[in-house]
Amino acid sequence: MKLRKMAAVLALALMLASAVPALAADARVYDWADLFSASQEAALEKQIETFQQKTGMDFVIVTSDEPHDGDSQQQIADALYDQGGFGLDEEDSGILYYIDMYERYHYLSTTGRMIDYMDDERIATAIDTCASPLSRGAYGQAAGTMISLVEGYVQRGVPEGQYRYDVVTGQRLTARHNALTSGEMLGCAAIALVAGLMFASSVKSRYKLKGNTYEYNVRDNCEVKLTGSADDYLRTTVSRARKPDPPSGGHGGRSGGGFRGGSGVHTSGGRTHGGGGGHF
Amino acid sequence: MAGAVPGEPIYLNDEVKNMAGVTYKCPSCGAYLVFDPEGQQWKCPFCSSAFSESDLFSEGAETDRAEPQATAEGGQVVYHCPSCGSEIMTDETTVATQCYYCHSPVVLQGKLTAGMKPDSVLPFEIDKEKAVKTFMDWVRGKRYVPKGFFSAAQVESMSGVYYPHFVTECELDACVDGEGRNTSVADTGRYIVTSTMHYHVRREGRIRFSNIMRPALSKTNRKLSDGVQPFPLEKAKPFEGAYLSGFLAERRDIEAASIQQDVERETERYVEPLLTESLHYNSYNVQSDARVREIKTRYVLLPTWVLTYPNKHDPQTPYYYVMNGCTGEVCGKLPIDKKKLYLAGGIVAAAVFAAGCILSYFLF
Repeated sequence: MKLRKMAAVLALALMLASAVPALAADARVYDWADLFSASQEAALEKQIETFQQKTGMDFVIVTSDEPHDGDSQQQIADALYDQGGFGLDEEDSGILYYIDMYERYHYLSTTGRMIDYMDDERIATAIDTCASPLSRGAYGQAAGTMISLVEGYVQRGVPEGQYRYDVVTGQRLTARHNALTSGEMLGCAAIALVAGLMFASSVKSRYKLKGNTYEYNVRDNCEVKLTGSADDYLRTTVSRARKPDPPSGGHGGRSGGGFRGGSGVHTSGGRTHGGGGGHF
Repeated sequence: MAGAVPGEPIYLNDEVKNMAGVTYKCPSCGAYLVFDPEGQQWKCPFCSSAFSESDLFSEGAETDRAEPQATAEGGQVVYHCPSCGSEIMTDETTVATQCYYCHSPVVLQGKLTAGMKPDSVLPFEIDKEKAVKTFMDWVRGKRYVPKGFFSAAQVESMSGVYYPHFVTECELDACVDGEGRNTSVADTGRYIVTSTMHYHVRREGRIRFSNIMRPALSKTNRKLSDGVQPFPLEKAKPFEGAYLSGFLAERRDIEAASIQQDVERETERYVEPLLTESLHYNSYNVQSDARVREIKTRYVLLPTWVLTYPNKHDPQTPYYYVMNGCTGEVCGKLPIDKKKLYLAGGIVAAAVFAAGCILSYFLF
């Protein structure tokens, strides 16, 4: 199969790279479709190096223009990442950006911690953003943008409420990720400041000389003797209002499929991956 | 006094000549008697003899009289102490005081004649010892008062003072007149039908208000005097000067008529809520009208413990406190330890911040 052939080629390339240190065993850009110029490739490698230093996770770019005999881009990307031995930590956390020129499809495959940083929504946004330069033929720009986008997402942290779910069964696999955003902290600080000031001012006002606190106790000091009483009917008025129509359409339940904040995962080659892609 | 030369003694006119000061003498040893709030009787501080109300008034207490000498500038009156002969200077409204030298109590009976005699007096129920303890307990309960600011020794300088008040009873003929509405809502399927039945409503009644209090001394700090109300007026006794013995007392300097308009205005405020209690409508609009049928004002002396406490940081603005001489209710501005207060405010803010963060972490 083409998939196995590609993975084997990648493994061989990596073996050679490790045998010759100058080739940099840590090469992360595999431009098999010849989309990038040499300078673009070098710039992307440099950008990935910075990405690795900042995030502690890996970033791999693979381009291809070969047909792939029924294997999906997801399968190819997952296999390339797994068999390429990428990843910098115990979980081999990282992301592989696969650009398939044969079907004009690009795909992000996430592994390890990167699955949590890149939830479905972020992946969809990143794919949409890079589709435009890819369709214009600006491949180097698209790959660079993708690295920047992913780096930005990692720096923003795991999205609040993120969780992993099985894309096949829809079953939730992890609890929602709880996070405290800077906005929430700012809100809490403002409320806390108001509470502290209110406390201090309430003590101050209690310690001040009370205002005119004398309240005549009407209940205990008053007698009422009713001497006359009248309740004479005058008229009845009637008003009629049409009831509002019930809302039409009957689209009850949640909108958006209920997967907001989720990172859809699947198992590929015994390993869990997330990901998503789209045409350009 | 008109034509008075400042600094020179002025000869007494007839009114002032009648203002004799009185010291109640102990039938056992001849020393002076003071009213004991705890036992509600009169005690001799020298021989410890105690005399009840009936003992004292049935036998007719023996008294020493202090004749007034002259009025000085500003209407002050000079007496000679019946016990030691020293001069006692009081102002125009003081009706009970003590000799500054021998501390004998002097009741200036003469100032309580000719319409100035109170109808009743509410005797002290809290003696000085208990008043000091109550005050210190009140202060200790206030967490943000600077530590050690109040000392019991200085608080002991508090004085028991009878302040003059008017207690008014007022009877009104009043009515409310207007429209009441009962509304019902029915759902007929396509329509919401609202039916409102309108009624002309009227309530007439006679309302009697009792125990409406107003200070009867123009120099009274209204905030302080109102802050310690209410007084148990049902325990008030017909006025006898002997109740003032051992305390300071002021007489009224305003007329009952001058507070009646204010009292009437206050009672009129209660007419609508009282007469509409029997209206059982969903909603109503009424107008009230009231006519005063009868108004009676009693002149009562009420017991208060008064303390002027020096302000260490600002000697020009001492702290004033008043305590109800029967209930122990205290009123007055307290000093604040700002460091302690702001620290507590900071702790509150930190606790709210932590709680808010935990909530937003798990809920949002």
